[in-house]
Amino acid sequence: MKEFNLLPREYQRESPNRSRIVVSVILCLLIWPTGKYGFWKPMETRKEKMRQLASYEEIVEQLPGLEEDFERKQAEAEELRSRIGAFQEMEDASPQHWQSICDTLMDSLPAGASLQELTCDGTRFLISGNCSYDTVSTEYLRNLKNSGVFSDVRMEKILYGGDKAVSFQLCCMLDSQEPEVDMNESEAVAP
Amino acid sequence: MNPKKTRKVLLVPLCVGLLFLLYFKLFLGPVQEDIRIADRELSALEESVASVRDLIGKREALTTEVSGLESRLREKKGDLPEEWDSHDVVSLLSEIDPGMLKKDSLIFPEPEEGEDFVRLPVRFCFSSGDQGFMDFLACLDAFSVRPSISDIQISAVSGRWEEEIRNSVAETEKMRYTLNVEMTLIFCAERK
Repeated sequence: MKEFNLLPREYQRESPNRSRIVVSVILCLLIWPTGKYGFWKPMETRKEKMRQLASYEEIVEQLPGLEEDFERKQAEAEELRSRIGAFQEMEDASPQHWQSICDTLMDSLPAGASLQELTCDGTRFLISGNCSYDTVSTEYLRNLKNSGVFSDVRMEKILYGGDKAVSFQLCCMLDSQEPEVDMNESEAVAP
Repeated sequence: MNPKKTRKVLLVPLCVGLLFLLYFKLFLGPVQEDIRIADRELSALEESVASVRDLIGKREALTTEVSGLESRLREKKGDLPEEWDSHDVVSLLSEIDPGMLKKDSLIFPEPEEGEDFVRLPVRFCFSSGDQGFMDFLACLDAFSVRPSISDIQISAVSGRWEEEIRNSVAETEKMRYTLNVEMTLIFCAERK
């Protein structure tokens, strides 16, 4: 036997089962995004930020000690550099180095000039000699300047002798470079 | 419309709104506030953290450099002779061909104590020809205990022009000197 509902449509009652199922399905579908984006995600973000903040604070706490340690290491490196520099200075003034300087002094001498005396107190040279004309002594000065070994080459005096001979005196500085500690070398010998 | 249904339609969004308000006030609001505060603090700390990281990097590089310098210093100190005195200097200088130079004097000033080594200065005066002087320098350089020269004074006693053959073809004249030389040789020895 078939049942007929003769009430108008708006007065008809929907089947309770159907509406409940729809609501339940909607609720079930809403649970996952609501849980994820409404609870889990903000909590997780806050936890992550707090963890990051704690780690940052931990890092920043190291700063004073780290600065102190860095300065100590810097001073240590500076001291070692100066100690190696003392060795370097000794090596720089090797006989071979002097040999090359003497070679330069002799090779720069133009024809018609001869050396009389040479004094050096480490970096400052005082050179005296004789030549036939004053222009020859200045040519020697130019040659020394152009050799690249000396700097501040300066004629101190030229004395004209009676027999057309000229004696001259000039001074110059040895172009010494600061003893530099070559780190490539230090790395090469590092264990 | 059915008044019961109307009430239901009004009540449900009201409850939902109330629930959301409660959720926002009691949970989401404080959480978001915490996140905002943390973000602010993080951005404030960002610079300090960057400088700490930079400092850590620099310190590591410096540590490597220091260990390199230490080993280099050890190596240099290891090359120094343990014992060195006037006897060794005289023996060393006598090894040089006696015909090459005429020794005038050897003066031994007070040794100077450095941080890693002792400097033993020797004032050496001699006469020789200019070629003999150059050969002497080459001989000094070839010794295992190589001295350094701190100062030097050379006087030409006499000079004469001599023919010199260059490249086996051209003949040129070159001044040959007889020199009086005074120099300070500095030998280094291990510090005891």
